[in-house]
Amino acid sequence: MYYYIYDSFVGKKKYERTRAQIETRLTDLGISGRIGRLTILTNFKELVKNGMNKGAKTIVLVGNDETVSRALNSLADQKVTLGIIPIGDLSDNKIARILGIPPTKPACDILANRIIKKIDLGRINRNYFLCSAQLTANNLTIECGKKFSINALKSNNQINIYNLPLLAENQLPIKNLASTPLDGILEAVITPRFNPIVRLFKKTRPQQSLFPIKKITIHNDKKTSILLDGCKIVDTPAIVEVVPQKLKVIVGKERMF
Amino acid sequence: MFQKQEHVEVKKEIETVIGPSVRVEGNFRGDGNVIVEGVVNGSLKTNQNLKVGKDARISANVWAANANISGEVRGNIKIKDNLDLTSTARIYGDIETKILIVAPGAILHGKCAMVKEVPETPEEKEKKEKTKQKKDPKESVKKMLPKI
Repeated sequence: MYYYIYDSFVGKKKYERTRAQIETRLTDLGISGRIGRLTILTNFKELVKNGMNKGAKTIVLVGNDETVSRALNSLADQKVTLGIIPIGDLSDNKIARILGIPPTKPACDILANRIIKKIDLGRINRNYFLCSAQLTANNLTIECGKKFSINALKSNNQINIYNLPLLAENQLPIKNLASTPLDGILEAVITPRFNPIVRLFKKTRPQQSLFPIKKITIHNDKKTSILLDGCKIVDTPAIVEVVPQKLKVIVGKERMF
Repeated sequence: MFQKQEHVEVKKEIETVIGPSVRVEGNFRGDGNVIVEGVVNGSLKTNQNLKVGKDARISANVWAANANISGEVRGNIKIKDNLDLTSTARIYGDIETKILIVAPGAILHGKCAMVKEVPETPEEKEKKEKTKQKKDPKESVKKMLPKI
């Protein structure tokens, strides 16, 4: 049984026609179900619990990347399958693009096909992330268990931790940063940040470091914020780990893994 | 108007890149190819290929299947198959490998071993056999008698 959770922005008049098209298509395919709407008075945890109490085995999020990211903590530890119907611009729906889910009406057909994959999730201090985590810091130390530690030699560094492949502006994956959510590994990329004025005179680009990781601890002199999937914030010190095959997701044939 | 969604599958080889802005300390063990452009102290081990850039500095013992070294290594190097030292390579330690390529200008300061055992010369073989015969005369007589 399917339970549909609509994000608050989907209720706007702008998306009225899109909503009608989606609901008609779902009925035609025989996969319509109950609908829960996210409002000021409700949150994802309550809606997911509500859906599961009504016997739903598949929770479908109707929204964008931010919708998925905010709902993840409520879904990850439940025995449900996640589906997505992306609404809005392509730039706001990169997760759906990577999972091979086209926007609006065609996403209903993907749901009906039910190709299910168990994908890895990243976790930082009990907060899950699906796509990536990002922080900028000075004097950073990364410890990989008791085996080795990584120290940045330059002062200002950006660290990105990827679970899904990184997309370029043309919506295709960047080759060197090819990450898949099925391998039980996260990719940590450390990029030193240069003064843009100095960079004008130097032809060489800052060189990145790339480490495949399963579990690391990030320490810093000061408390630093880590941004998860572009919307949630967690502070250092942080334990970053991969949780292999944590979440069942309905994916499309055009997925990038 | 009609945009075909390209099916792009991301195929992956595990690769570690230790960039020039990073220092690794401890026992580093990589599962795939490793590229070192920065600083490594401790030990460095991989089952696959190792590439050491010309500005890299490694103060560690190194193990790899194949290696291409252009930078500085202070430690012993054990390579399963091919070791390639380019013109800017500086090795201060012993090396052990099956196949060795040394470009003009490379510096190697240490022992170099390419086989597990040094093969015997014919004279040494003969000497060994004579010593055996002296120790066990019955064996030498048995060898001389024709087989029935």
